[in-house]
Amino acid sequence: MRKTILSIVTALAAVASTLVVLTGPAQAHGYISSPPSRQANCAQGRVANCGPIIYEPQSVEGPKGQRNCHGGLSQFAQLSDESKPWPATSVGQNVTFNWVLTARHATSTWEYYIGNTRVAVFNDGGRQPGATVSHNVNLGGFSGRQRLLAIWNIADTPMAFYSCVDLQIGGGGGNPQPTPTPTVTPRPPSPTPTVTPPPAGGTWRTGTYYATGSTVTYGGATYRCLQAHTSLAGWEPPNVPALWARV
Amino acid sequence: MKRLAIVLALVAGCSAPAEPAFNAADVMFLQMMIPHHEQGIQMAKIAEERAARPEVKALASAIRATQSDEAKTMTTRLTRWEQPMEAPPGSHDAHGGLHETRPSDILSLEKAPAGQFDTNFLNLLTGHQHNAVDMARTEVKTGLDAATKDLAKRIEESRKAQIQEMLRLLAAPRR
Repeated sequence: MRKTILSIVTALAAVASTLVVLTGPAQAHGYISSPPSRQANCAQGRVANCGPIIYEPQSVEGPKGQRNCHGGLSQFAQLSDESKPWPATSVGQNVTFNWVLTARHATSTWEYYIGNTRVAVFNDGGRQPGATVSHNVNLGGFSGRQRLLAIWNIADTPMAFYSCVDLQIGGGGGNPQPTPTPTVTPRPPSPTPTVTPPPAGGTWRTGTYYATGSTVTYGGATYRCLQAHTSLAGWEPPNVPALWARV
Repeated sequence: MKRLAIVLALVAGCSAPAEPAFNAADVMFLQMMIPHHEQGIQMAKIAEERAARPEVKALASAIRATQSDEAKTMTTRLTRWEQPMEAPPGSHDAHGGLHETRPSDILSLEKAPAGQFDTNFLNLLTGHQHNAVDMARTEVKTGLDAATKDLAKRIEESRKAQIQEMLRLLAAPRR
């Protein structure tokens, strides 16, 4: 009996796996993480009311040749909304742009635009990208607040991925700053994690640094921290026995 | 499919009342998530040794600890269900391939220059956790077993929060 059921289960599994593939996650692929792109600022929660991009900052995929921040996708149109308070990162003339990739497509080029000027292009000649991708870009004398558009052109599809990065370019034209390290402009109040441990016996909350041995209450029970960490949603004490022991 | 699985569970219930009700999506989720976790643990272990910023190190340690626990839970469940740890070769091609963290990615993290390590680690793991969120959301939508769907919900939530934390670390000036 059991064996029969198992073989039926196995047969159904084969059918269902096809269904799972068909209903699988949207194919999603990459964006600029630092200096933070608009979708990175949305996903991080630094810019509010961004719409569904917060769930998939890697999905701004549209036909090649566009010059907007949302890849022409109506559900992500907020990325091109210039009235939103996009924070600009202070940079010099040379900036290193770092990408997060969730799929490593064969790549034709990576392009960087300010306005209509292509300030940089990197030709990968159809190769798959490495583990991580970063490009050092000279901003070509642009200064002040600028919106940079980065485009990842895929080699074997007609599609590209779009990321806009808001920059406050200092240093003036032809006077590159020695350090390409971006610094961040002061930002509006946001859920910045505190680094001060709460008083022993406080209520557990997210974004808090807990030292090994500190105690919290959660859902009426007391827990002792087994390993120092900054708390986050999904790491509630009863859910992560690796981090918290009930006392 | 869902109805069939429930019927099956009922049939199974005749001979073994405690038989859990699960479907192929649950099994596939576990089969894919276990190796995905192992890769995450590998990356975190490297960062525990090599990360320059203490907050990156602490995050890596917490991720290693929590994912090791989750991997144990998932392995135990597949064993209890008498399901293979791995799906038949090729059955995950639509998910895997391009979306996988390749062994060469982990190797290149190991070899990253000291000044680049934190940035490379955070970008690599952020991409990796985005893929975990996708798999977890699929399980929440298509799975059947309540405990596995709960685990998927927690994975979705905690990975989203980790991504936020990593994006914050990437954007924040180094101390």
